[in-house]
Amino acid sequence: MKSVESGTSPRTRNLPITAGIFFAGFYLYVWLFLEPRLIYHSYVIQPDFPVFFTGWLFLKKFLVYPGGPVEYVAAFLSQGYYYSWLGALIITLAALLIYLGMRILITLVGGGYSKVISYIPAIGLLIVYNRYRHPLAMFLALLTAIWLSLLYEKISLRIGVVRWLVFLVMFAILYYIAGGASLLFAVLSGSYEVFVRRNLFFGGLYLLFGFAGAWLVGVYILELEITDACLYLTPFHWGDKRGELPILKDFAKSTTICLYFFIPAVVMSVSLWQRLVENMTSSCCTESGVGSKSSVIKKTLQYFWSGRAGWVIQTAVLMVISIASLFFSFDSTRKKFIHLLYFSDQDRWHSVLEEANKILIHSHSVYVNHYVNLALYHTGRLGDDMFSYRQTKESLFTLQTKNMRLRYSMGSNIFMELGLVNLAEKQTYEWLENTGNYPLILMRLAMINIVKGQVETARVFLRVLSKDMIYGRQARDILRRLDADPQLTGDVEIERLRSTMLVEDWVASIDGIVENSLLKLLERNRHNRMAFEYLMAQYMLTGRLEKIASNIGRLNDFDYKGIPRHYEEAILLYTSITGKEVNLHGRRISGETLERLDKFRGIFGRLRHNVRAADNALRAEFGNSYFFYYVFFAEKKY
Amino acid sequence: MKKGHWSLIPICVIVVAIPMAWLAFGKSVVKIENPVFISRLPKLNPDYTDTVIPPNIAPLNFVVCEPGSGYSVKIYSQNSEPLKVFSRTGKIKIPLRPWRSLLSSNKGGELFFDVYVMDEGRTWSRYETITNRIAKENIDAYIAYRLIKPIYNTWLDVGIYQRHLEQYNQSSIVHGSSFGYGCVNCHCFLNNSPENMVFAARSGKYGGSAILVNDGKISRIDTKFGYTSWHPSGQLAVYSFNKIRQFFHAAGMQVRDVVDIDSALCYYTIKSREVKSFSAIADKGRLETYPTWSPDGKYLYFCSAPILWTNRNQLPPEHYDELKYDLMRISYDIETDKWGELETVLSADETGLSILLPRISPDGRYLLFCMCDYGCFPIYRPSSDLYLMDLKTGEYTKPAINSEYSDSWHSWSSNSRWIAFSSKRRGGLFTRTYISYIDDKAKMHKPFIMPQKDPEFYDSFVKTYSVPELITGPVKVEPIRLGRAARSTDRIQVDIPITGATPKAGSTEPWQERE
Repeated sequence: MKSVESGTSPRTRNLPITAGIFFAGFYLYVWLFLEPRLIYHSYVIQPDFPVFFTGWLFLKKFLVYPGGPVEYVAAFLSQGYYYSWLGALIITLAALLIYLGMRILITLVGGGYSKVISYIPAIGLLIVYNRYRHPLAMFLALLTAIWLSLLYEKISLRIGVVRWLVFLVMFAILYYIAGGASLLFAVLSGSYEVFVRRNLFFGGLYLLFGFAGAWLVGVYILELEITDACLYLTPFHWGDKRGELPILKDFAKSTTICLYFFIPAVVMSVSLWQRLVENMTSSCCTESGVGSKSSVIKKTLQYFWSGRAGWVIQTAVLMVISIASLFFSFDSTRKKFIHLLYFSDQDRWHSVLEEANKILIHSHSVYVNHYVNLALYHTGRLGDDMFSYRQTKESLFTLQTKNMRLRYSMGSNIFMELGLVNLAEKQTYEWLENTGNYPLILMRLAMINIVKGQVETARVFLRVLSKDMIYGRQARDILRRLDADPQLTGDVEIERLRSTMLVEDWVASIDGIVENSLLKLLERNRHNRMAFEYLMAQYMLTGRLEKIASNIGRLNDFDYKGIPRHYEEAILLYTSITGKEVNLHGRRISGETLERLDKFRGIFGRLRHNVRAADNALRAEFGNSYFFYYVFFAEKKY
Repeated sequence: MKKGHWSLIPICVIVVAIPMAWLAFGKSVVKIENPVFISRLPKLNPDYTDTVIPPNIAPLNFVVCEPGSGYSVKIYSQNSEPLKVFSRTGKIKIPLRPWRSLLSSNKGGELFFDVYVMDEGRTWSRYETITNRIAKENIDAYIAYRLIKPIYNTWLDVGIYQRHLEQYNQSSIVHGSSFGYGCVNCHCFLNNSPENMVFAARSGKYGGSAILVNDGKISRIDTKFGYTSWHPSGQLAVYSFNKIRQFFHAAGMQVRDVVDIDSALCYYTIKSREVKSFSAIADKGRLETYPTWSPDGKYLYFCSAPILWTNRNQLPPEHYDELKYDLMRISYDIETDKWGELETVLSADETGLSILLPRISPDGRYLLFCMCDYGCFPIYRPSSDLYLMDLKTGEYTKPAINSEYSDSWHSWSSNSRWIAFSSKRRGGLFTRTYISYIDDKAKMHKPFIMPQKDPEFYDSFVKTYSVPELITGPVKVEPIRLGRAARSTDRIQVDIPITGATPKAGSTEPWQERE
């Protein structure tokens, strides 16, 4: 069947311009606003971002199951996300190819007038990225299915058996390279047979074979589970391969599922609509008068679909749909959190705090708090400003949180920085098992082993990392340095960790680790500032004022000018509650803090029987003080 | 010629040039004249020098770790043509067929490697000849092991695999992903046969159970099997149940440590589908574990230690680092199902070390076991070494196959001439499988690492090989069927005759899984 269009209508002439503008906007939006580098760095929370290593061993794994080749290509392309401009280009090209495929597909089934619909899958892709998910493999599979069905339809073979054989070969190839997306190919080719070639038998056969073939080959020949056999790389397959598959959640998942229905639905409905229009045209021809009812309907339709007005209307609809979709689907909280992770990976601690300030304080999760505290420590403000942010007693170490990827990554980072190298090792292996061979995890394990003098083991991790496209050079450089100096004695960070790490063994259980570990670290190296500040922070969060008082002398091991504000507040609370004096080792409490205590006590004294009123009266002025936290939130009180 | 056809010329050139280049450089048409002799052995990775190899082993591919721009290795023995391999990178990949022919026609003879290295100035050097020996006896053709990352409390990717030792093919026996990302461990075979096996399957979603494969028939038993040993008759399997706790060392090389807070032995009878026990192997005051049968089925050997703590909730328990296991045995009559008297074969008091993992050679002559400074889990103890006891004399020796790191988890081949064992000697963290020959004078020869097609494979492989078990052929039961069995609700219900250490089949706690 040929398209109803002939000649070049004004709308047709405008289409490349529309597409050009649309995809230019698409690219700029992804590059500058979504920033694909954030997706690359969100592996901590992103179960579907793949790793990629050069070499045959890595490739081999992808060649032995249906869908593997597309996953391999997606993994390769995903590395481009490290650079936002390149990531945006990859996403835009994928969207463009899907759009073009859809456009040709619709034309083939006779719907040349409704090409604006072709943009919908591209918008769908954008919606999923707007949620900061990474569905590249799934969309590449979809793309392959669309283009292969186009190829099938373009071949236009007349002999049925040959057509059937061509379908079989194509289906087999597609099943191997794109897994479950081959079902879409079967549906599209079947629809084409039914609606365009009007061959119900072949259409039915294709659909039947699509489902039965994947099932038979996958389950009985390749010995896969039925979901892996039939649905792999489609949005219907989620959660079966934890940490490996595109696990699209909520809005993103629904969108992708809708697209899978949308594409064949469009093909079918356009075909049916075309038939309807044809019927009307033929009935129009049989009716005599130009002004007959059918003729009026046809002209009206032509005006709205094919004329300049049609182009304007469709472009306007496209713009409205695009803008509305982007507006409603954008996950700003996730973006801010990923930004925060990104900045912390880069040691840009001031930026971490700026990003945290953008997240509403009441929506600060324990994870945000964790990074805030880390940033405050690195900017020298933990003792002064930690209660300017929401705090809970889990904020420092986040050892019991449900999200295992985050828990282990945070544990790995913080233990390593503190010098608890063995515990960092434990958390990092958990992280590796739950997340995969991500570059920064491999690098961390290499560093841990170098610090511990286990150079052979470190080399194993570095050799894996040396095949990474982004971090490979860094790994090869460290390997060369290890050849020259197996202890890396000149490395400042390695030396710092060696000077702080525990050397005397003791048995630790993760649950009761915090206080003992920090004290052991200070025994090992009394100048371990991070251990000291985290110890004091932990005491403050758990309301242990006497511990703060007894450890205040450790300030002299560091270069503090005075006493950090929150420590002053804790000491004042301790003396005012217990009446005991605290030895400040030559330091003194500032007058400002004394004044604030008097004022706080005055207000609290007046309203102490009405907690809510006291909270309201004190929050504005004292909400950022330890006085406030201690009175309203701390567990342990005198 | 038409204009478009000119483009075919570069294609033709490429088509011709590639095979020619391959012939020129890929094949060993290398002329080496008057090489400079270097009076030392070349450095090889892996170290395949001065060892004894099975005549049916896959080619021992290796890398020559000497600087150079060309490498040539001549491999030869007495009764066959030499085999020559050339490489520009130092990676020596030996072709399978000539290697097989070389080994099979020189059983019992010596195998020589002459290594030549060409420097930048195109001058060749020859190193001292490497001499290995080809044993007369084959090793069992397959080995089964578990591949895991160095896991602690959580896991995603755990599977039991089998490897054809005569080639490099590895295939999955069962993977945890087939039953809700569960854990599989403690695989055990009857008399090195792949037809009868049992392994433990544990999953948060499907619960824990033992999967029994008996002559191709698969059953799910509603209890957890720990360390298991089949009676040689195949009529029963003794297993341990262990109440394991994990804890961590804040300093030192090994972070992980585990202790059996409680443990005992039971046995499952295949025909009657019952679980039984006996007071001497399930003493409430002691910890029994690591059962193994003598090949005649008349004795059960196992390890046993007194419980040193009163508080079973404390972690780690008191005196955990003083816990040392004795080696015990008890007689058994399969006909009457009667147990005899308990005997101490070797006590920890005598050795000063904890005795673990006894395994008896199929000919009944030797008992190979581990000893380490304390505890029940040798793979986490760098002090763990292998020891060999002559069961005729009761004397034991420490063979020279041990390393400074943990050596443990050994398995005998069905002809009692080979052992496969786990060693962390390559850096201390990753467990690799080593193979060693034991001759008729009970001498254990220098072990070599299980060969891989890519000789640099182990240099960047971040998983560990655990519990290597030699088997005579491949496990033929399909992984998908084993996965289905682990998910199945059709289970053999059993009553456990012991309380205390008995874990419930359904519950799965992460700390109960270990390497």
